[in-house]
Amino acid sequence: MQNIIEVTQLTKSFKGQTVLNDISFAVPKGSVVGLLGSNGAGKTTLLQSIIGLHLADQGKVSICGEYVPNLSAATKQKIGYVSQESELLTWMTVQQIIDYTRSFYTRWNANLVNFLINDWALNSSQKIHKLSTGQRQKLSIILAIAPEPDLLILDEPVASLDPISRRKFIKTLLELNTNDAQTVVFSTHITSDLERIAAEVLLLKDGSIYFHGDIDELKEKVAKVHIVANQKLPNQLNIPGVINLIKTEHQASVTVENINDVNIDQLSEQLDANIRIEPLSLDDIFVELHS
Amino acid sequence: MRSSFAVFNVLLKNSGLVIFLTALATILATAAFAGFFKETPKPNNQAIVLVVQGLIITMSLLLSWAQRFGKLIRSGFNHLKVGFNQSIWVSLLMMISVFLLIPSFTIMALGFGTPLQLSLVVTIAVFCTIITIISSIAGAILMASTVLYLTTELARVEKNPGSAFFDFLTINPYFILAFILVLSLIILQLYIQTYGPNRPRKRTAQTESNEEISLRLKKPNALTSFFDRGWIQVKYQIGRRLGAIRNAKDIALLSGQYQTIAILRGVLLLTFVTGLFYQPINEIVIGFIDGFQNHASAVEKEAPVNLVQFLLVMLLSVLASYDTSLLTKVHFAQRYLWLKLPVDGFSNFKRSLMATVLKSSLVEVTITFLIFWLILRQSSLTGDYYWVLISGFFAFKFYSAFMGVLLIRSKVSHLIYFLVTLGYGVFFAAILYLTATIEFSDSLVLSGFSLVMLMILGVCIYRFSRQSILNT
Repeated sequence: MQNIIEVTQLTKSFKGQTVLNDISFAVPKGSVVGLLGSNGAGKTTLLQSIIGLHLADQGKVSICGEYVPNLSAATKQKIGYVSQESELLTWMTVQQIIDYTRSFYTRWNANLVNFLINDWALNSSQKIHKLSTGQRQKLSIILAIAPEPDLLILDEPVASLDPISRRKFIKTLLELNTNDAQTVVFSTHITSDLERIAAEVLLLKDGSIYFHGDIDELKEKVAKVHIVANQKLPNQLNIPGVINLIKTEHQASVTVENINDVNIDQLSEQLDANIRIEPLSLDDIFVELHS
Repeated sequence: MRSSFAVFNVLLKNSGLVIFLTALATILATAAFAGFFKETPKPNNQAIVLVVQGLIITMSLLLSWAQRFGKLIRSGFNHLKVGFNQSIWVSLLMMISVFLLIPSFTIMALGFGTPLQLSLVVTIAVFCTIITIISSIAGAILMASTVLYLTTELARVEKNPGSAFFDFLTINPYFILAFILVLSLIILQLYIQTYGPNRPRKRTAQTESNEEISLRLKKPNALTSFFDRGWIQVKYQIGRRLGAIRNAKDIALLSGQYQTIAILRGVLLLTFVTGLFYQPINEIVIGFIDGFQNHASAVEKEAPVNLVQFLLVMLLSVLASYDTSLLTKVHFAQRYLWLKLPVDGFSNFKRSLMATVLKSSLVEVTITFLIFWLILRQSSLTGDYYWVLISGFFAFKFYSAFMGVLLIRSKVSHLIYFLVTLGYGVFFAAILYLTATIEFSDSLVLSGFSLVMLMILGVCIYRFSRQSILNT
């Protein structure tokens, strides 16, 4: 499958502080990728670097085969972007900004706009500065998806939305992606949403990629090992890829990067212990990684 | 994010000793300045300029502390900050020090102080403070009006030996005193009801920064002024109908411009164009300029002439300064239009955007120069003064535009702020020197004082406008 985004050895610093460190990955056309990471992990910088709002210190980014920031007008028309804090011309009315944004694009799904304006209870004649944060976010999303972009980049799109609007947004996003024509890359803190929409996850930690792949694959790899020993546990447990460890004299809970690398039988025998493996949800994995 | 009033915040963040020394230095400087003029009997202008300047510095300090106090109180988060109560008390203390001590010292040093006069000044200051906490614009207008009135009053006293301050008031000063006090209390009561302890507040907040201004608002509102938004909408509607706003870049760049200065310039244009055809307006305009033409006889003229000279100086500064919001908005427009504008490549995109910015800048310079020229033309100003002002206009326009460019490109913005305000100060003091009937040595003192005052005001205004615009 052809890659719509290719990031190679991307490094970005601000005032001497490295935010993104040697990041490389590719996003195939038609996929839905969720970007997960704690505050300050570099999610927004990564998304903004992809579309050219930040210029890379090192490395390269390409979209549809064109290097960022030298994108052609045709390629830019294929990209939809919603920033974390909606960037709107606040002095306009909802209808004015719809008309204004429409003037930029050759493709515009007016039916979808009208449907979402009604469905999300936005008033066309309302001044934007009077909209709530959530309403502004909704409007930003509508403006981004109306041109039916091939690549939709969303920076925490649901952070300001109420649960009902979140579900509606996810439903819309899934419908847009049904024919695999649209690629979606979005960042979020809400792992349940991510699991619902995305098949792929890109996990950022301290400016580097911790994991990139199927969510199921991640859930199969990362697990928690509960150890209850008949004798006193040694100071050092010989377990590879420990993410997190809680240990008492006879018991231990160990979160490991890849459960397949742990020889459970051997460990049980070595420690004279009962061992139970607990599969973790995406939410648990996220917490374990950052605890 | 730094406060709009960075200078005062920096002071506040430091120890109480620094705050005390700053307040003491301000008071001593004002008193020394007042004493200097008292000991040097000169025509009335100097005393008037002194009071105006003394009160303006009071106003700038008062506005800063009142704004800070208002922001601290209004936020739903600030009370969570460690040291919140201390910040509140320090702000209040500074306000009290400023509005009690500086006007009192100024008036007493000039030998005009009586208990009634001082009480009235202090009461007005209290009222202005309360209004400023609620609305800084309303507070500034009120304070400016008070300053202008007090100056007129002083001039009348000077002109009529044996008369006292407020003798010319047609209403009993005690009545005014009581009225202002009652009104202040009512407004304060309403304010406390709205923002006071009964207001539901958040109990927890997650933030990586403990800086109070970061906690102030979840999302800083940029063009909060009704005038700004309304004016952009009017310009957008008219521009579209006339075909003047033809492309998307114009609209995006229009969006962030700080419109208040444009409105002020519009009012100036209207006034002076009307003056061309309507005699009464023309007479006011000529009155404005009177000081330029009649240096030697300025003392003999009515007191308001000196006031209007001062106003004129401010108006000319407004016209001569470059509207840097045109430049600061480029950053926003660049982000906003980057994916939307159908232009190939990064260089072409920047070139296209900069062409629009240059066009807007050219329009800005042309229009402001026309208004400036119109003022000078109506004043029938000739000779050196005319050419000094014309060349001053272009010199300052170029200087402020250059500083505007540096402002958006430079990483050392504090230095740029300083240079910008230095420029304002020099320009302001130079025109003031031209208008005031004073000796060269006095003008040096005045210039220095103007410089300090404008540096403080300038830094505040620039930081405010820049932060606002960048966060639109």
